[in-house]
Amino acid sequence: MTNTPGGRLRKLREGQGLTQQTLAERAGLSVSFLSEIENGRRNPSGRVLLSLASALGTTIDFLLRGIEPPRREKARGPMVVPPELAAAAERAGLSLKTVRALQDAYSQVVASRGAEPEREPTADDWLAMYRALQRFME
Amino acid sequence: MVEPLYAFERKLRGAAAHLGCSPAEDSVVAACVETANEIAGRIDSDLSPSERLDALADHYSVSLEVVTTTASLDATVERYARAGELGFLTRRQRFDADLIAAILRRRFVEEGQRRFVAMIDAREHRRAMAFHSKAHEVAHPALEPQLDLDFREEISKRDPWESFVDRVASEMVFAGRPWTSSVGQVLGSSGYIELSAVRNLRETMVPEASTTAIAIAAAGSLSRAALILWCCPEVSKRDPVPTLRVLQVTPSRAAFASATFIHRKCRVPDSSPIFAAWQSGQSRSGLEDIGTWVGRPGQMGWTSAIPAAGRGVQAVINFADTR
Repeated sequence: MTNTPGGRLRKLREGQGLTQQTLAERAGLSVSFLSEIENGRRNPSGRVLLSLASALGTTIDFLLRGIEPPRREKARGPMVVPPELAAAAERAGLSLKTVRALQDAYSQVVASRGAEPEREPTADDWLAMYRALQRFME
Repeated sequence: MVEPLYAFERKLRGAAAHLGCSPAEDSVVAACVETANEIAGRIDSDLSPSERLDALADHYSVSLEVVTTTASLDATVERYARAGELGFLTRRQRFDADLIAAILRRRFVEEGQRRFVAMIDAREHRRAMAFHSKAHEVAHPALEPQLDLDFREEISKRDPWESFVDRVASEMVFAGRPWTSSVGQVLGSSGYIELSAVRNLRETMVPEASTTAIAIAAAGSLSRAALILWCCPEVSKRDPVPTLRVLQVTPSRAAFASATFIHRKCRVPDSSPIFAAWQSGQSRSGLEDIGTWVGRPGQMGWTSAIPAAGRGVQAVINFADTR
């Protein structure tokens, strides 16, 4: 039964390859209590749900009601390749698909905080990035 | 280039519109705290600051990844890369340089997964800031509609918006009944904040937060101007002999508002309890004549100082209630 809180909990846990023992430890619960929650024999408190949701990287809303945060992705604008990336692509003979994948990966970080301002990547930076990402892009 | 102050006003107005309040700093903070209370209240009326932080992360769909070693940073970056989330890998070198935190918007969201992942670099000297960094990253979605995030970047201690987010983060997390009923414990018999009591409160309530974060939050709750100092022996351009000097200053909100400040590298006067703590290697508390620091007589404070095993002295200077 995956349409119950216990069922969703079990499905997520198993999907992440976690044993009841591991999840119970991460959430600070006993294995027997976790098992009872998964089997729908116990109603967890808000605190317990919070520990479980944090441990599984999910939300209380999802565990309780199966509700996910709304997906409202921003519309993708026209592709504008910065000249530094274009230069890197030319030097390394990168395909348009690879260039797009590099740009996508770079723009996935929507915010950062550091001691120094982030400068625009140079052609060398893009190439270094490509080398680091290459094995995951294939 | 947008002027920082203009950018701050623009962001403040945006946050106020998002929260449905007036575009004044205090109103925006109050709206955020009210929202945080509501979010926490749905779970339990007695959440600790750490639990409130978890509840906010849950509400705003942010997973928090705190890495304390280079090996765990690499393993975490690799784990996300294997799942097709390559963003952290594009910033891997910057983490070694100066990055404190980065937020990634997942491309592949599986059923039930949180939408955002905040990577907090808590390696070495950044470890003490980890709790604060987590709260800071979670406070952003409270101020800005989370799904409309354009790339934004903050540079530590230079961006007024970041300072404001720090304040929002602190007030959203350090609230609720357990905190407000315990915060009085930081007051010693002097009626001022005692650092040893701050450390006790930290250990019992929020062990993962830094003493500075607790002291600042407590000072805010008590509306006192306070400066949290870290002092170490240092040389200066004029004086090549190492002398006890202020290395780091964190002002409370009231101190910031009243422009109460002690400059970095300022020499700690021999008459200060901080100097006595350094010399004796033991905790010291006592009256502080601020005039001896800045050369302007008249202002008095109360200082509580604790030496840290040969490394320096941490201290809090309390000023009179400004409210």
